[in-house]
Amino acid sequence: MKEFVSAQSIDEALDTLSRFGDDCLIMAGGTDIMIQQRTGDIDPRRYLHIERIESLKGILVDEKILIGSTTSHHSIVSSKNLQRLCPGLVSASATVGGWQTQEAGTLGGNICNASPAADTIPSLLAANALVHLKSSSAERTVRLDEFIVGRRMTSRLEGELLVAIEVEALPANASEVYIKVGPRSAMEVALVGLAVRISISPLGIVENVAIATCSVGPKPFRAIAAETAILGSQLEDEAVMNAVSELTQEASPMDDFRASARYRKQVLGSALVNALNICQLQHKLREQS
Amino acid sequence: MKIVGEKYARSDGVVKVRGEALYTTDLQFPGMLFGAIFRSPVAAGRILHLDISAAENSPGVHKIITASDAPRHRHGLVVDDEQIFTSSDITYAGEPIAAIAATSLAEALAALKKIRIEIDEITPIVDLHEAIDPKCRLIHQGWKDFGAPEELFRSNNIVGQMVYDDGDVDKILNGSDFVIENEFVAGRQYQAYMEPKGVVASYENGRFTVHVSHQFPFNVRDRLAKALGIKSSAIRVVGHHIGGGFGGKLDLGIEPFACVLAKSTGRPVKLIQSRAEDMATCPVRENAIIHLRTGVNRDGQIIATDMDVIMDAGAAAGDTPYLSSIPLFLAGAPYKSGRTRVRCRVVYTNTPSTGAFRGVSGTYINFAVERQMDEIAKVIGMDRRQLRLKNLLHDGDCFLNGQVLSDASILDEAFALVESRAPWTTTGKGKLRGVGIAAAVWLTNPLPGSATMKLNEDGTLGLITAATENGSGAVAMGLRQIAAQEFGLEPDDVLISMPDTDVAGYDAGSQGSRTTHVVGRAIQEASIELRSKIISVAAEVLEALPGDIEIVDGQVGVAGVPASRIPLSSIAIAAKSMAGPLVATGSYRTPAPEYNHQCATGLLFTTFPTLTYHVHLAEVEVDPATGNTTVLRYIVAQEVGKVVNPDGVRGQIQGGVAQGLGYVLYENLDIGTDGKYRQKTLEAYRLPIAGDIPEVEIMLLEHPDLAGPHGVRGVAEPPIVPVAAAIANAISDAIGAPLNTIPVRPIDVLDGIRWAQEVHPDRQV
Ligand SMILES: Cc1cc2nc3c(=O)[nH]c(=O)nc-3n(C[C@H](O)[C@H](O)[C@H](O)COP(=O)(O)OP(=O)(O)OC[C@H]3O[C@@H](n4cnc5c(N)ncnc54)[C@H](O)[C@@H]3O)c2cc1C
Repeated sequence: MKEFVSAQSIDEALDTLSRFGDDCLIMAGGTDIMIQQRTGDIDPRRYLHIERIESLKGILVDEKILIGSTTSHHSIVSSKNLQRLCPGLVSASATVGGWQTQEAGTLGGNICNASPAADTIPSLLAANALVHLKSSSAERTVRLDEFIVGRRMTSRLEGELLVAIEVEALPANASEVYIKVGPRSAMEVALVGLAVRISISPLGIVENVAIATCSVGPKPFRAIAAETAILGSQLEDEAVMNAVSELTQEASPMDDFRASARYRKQVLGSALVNALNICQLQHKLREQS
Repeated sequence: MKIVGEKYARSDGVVKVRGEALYTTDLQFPGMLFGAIFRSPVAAGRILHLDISAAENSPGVHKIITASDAPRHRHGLVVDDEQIFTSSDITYAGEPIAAIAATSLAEALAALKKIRIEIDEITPIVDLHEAIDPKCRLIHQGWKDFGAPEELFRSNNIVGQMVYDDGDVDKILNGSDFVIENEFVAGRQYQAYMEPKGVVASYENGRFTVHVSHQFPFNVRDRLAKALGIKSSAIRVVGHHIGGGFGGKLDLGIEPFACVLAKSTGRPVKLIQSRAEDMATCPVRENAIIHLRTGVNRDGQIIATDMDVIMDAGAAAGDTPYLSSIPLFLAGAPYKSGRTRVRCRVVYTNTPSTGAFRGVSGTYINFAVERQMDEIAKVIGMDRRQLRLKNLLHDGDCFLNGQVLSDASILDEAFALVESRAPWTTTGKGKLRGVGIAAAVWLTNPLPGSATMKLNEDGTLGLITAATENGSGAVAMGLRQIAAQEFGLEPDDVLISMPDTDVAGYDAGSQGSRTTHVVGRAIQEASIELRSKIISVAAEVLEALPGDIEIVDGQVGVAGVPASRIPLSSIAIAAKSMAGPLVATGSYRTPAPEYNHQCATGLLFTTFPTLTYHVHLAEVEVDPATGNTTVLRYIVAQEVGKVVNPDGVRGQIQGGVAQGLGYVLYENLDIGTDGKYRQKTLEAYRLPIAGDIPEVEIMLLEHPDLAGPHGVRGVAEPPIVPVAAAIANAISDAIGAPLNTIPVRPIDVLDGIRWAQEVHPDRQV
């Protein structure tokens, strides 16, 4: 029989974690875990259920934006603040599975599961996300790109709980999008995921840009070379084509039954062109109003 | 009272929605054990050593059986090429080697992991061209000794061949103005019903009782008898609610294992497949290669056709040898094919066996024929719809087997109906939008069925039949309404028994849209007898002449004297002390149409009875960034004979289109070089979801079939047939490139767009 502990507070959760360490698996919405257990990928002796801990839920908007780790995708999608300040994340959360998955699944779970296809991670990377971790003896804040270290691997230490995710708000002159590619209209694993956050000056010059992807390598990543290719440009064709070529070079997608690597690379380039077009259009509309 | 043609709720709707309906997996019996099957982990090889000792000592295990505990003779539906367990040669991944019965499923599965096996593995043969080569390694060393019908051509790995030849086809092809040649390839499709296969079997007093959720209980009985080497009367098959089948639950499945385990343990044994096991071993729609050459005159007339088909049977023939006849019908319909040659070969490979799936083989043969029509139109510079109308079959034209289609001109009406809804010249216009059209002729399965009806003492009607309700509503709506109509009763007053081979007369199962047509007719036959029995009792009770008695709205009375009417219940009660209880039985089988018996060799499936006609139109939009397709609009014109329940008909057409859309856009069981499917779960096997499927615009034609009850023809199977063709044609139109493979993958669309740009650089995409 498995042991199931449902913690009521962060302290209770940290206490359980300090006693059992990696002998105890954290469970938030359980949408990843239940499947992994069913397929036999995991077989934990103990579950620490954290979904009932009120202080892990919610969205706090101050000078910084803090999202509690067990905030559901649905809460993110319906948050007026995030729709305004972090629209890329909102559209990413809106693509996680279907309504049921968005109701049960959490942002912290999506991050800690560290799937190469995790939909929220590209937008979080583009928003320079930090993760706040706590154990019974310490606290630390880590950059998300340092937290995700590989396919389904994080740098979480034994006994640590992810308590919150901090993101930078979208600057006033900036636009962002998340593009997810998959054949079905929902319930789809991203064949390619791409987030772009971009600031364009009134003169049309790219002042700041973040490009991040998922499903095109063992872990989601920021595409620095592609960013460099368009930083300072006016998004003229040549700059965009350079960015596309940098991005597709950096990508190392899988060849599997879902899609070939060739397809993923090709679509990744088109997704970047589309994303930049959408951002530019949003920029123009903003300029006009 | 008008009941046929009206919307009545299905009898099983509420229990299914509430979760109260009992499926095979829900059944519990005292002392019941749980079974699990040990299957070959590899696709080809020879077993060197099997060690079950650790598994036998595993907690909860009652019995482990292997080839030495079960009948060893070969059996099969058409060819006797299957055995319950293999003890040496392995012909596909998943081939059963042993089975376990334990106190719980968890214990059975734990024991399964303790079975040790050593296999001398060889490279599986998975490629159709390789398998068909006479020099290829044999999939079955002993194929010559397998029992098979005499008319079935077999040779090496070929397990069925149908050949039709008008003669001089090459000559006429060479003399035609244009020759269009293409190859079409179709992948495998999984039936993906909601309920994986399951069975509970027990053995008592020399007889087996087998509980199933199966489309064809009598086939389970007969196939089991053959597999176990016993009389069919030693088996009773009891049917329960079915969580879908789509053809995947027509042939024998895992029933023999449950039976052998039940007999050897003396306990009931429940065997339920996991989804992964079900997917890996289900007789799915076969993959195939179709080579097509068409000779066409400048004016668009097709004067010669040469079709060559290779179908993959997998490691066992199943019903695929029958399917090799399907190309004969579809090569020459709905369009005249001129001088024609058709060859279809069915081959063994080291892959899981394939079999029946809604629209058997028709889906991809129709795809080839209809894609070819678009390619012909392009080459000769003729409008695609015009080309079709020019070559369309009409009343009095024949299939290639000589069977006359007396009402094929319905196709013209169907084309016109679609035109009235979506004018051809203005539909599908716009950047990366396209329109596709496809037509089909399909049959209603003629196989026999029966119904026993009894007038109950409370005035309700009992209907005993082995017809199965596999979800289509054929029983829960169709048969109930037809029976109710006969006596003017409410459908709720008709109580239909679950199929039971000990109780009901023979029925050929839910296949080929046959249930409403065939069993509906059997109900009408039984009703004639039951009505005359009621009338003779009523005549005595009412002291009138039998000729003056009428049955109206569940009452019986003297014609023209409404005051004389008494309820049917009083007749049923009176009958008990007169002629005895009121019971009657009817049977029906569609007579076989005439055809030319010499037309072809290897024709196992000889005619297409009770025809239905179909025209489908799809409008799509393609995303040039991803190669994804959105089906914007889907229109169906379908000949149904007579609508029994409008909701039932619409549901079947919407569902058939959904399944066809999945087939052409998303679904595929890729076979790896290891002979296994790369898709092992429903997470990997992409079925379409609600958001992918447009609301189908349905237009029905109702030309009654004279033999069908109320004119009913088959409805449920064919709406899947032209879907792949219509959608692929629309995508090809949108991008300006041919797409000749099912499924049409996004990468194929992107490659097509690039190809079209290279060929026509001026074309705007
Ligand atoms: C039908 C279906 C569709 C899906 N579709 C998508 C999709 O489209 N895109 C996508 O990205 N994902 C998808 N998923 C995956 C899943 O829903 C998401 O990853 C979800 O965000 C996981 O959140 P959860 O709370 O359910 O995680 P859980 O399953 O509870 O946990 C996931 C992992 O994170 C760890 N964990 C959770 N919270 C913490 C914490 N606070 N601190 C430390 N470790 C923690 C757990 O130990 C576990 O290893 C889908 C899942 C299903 C079942």
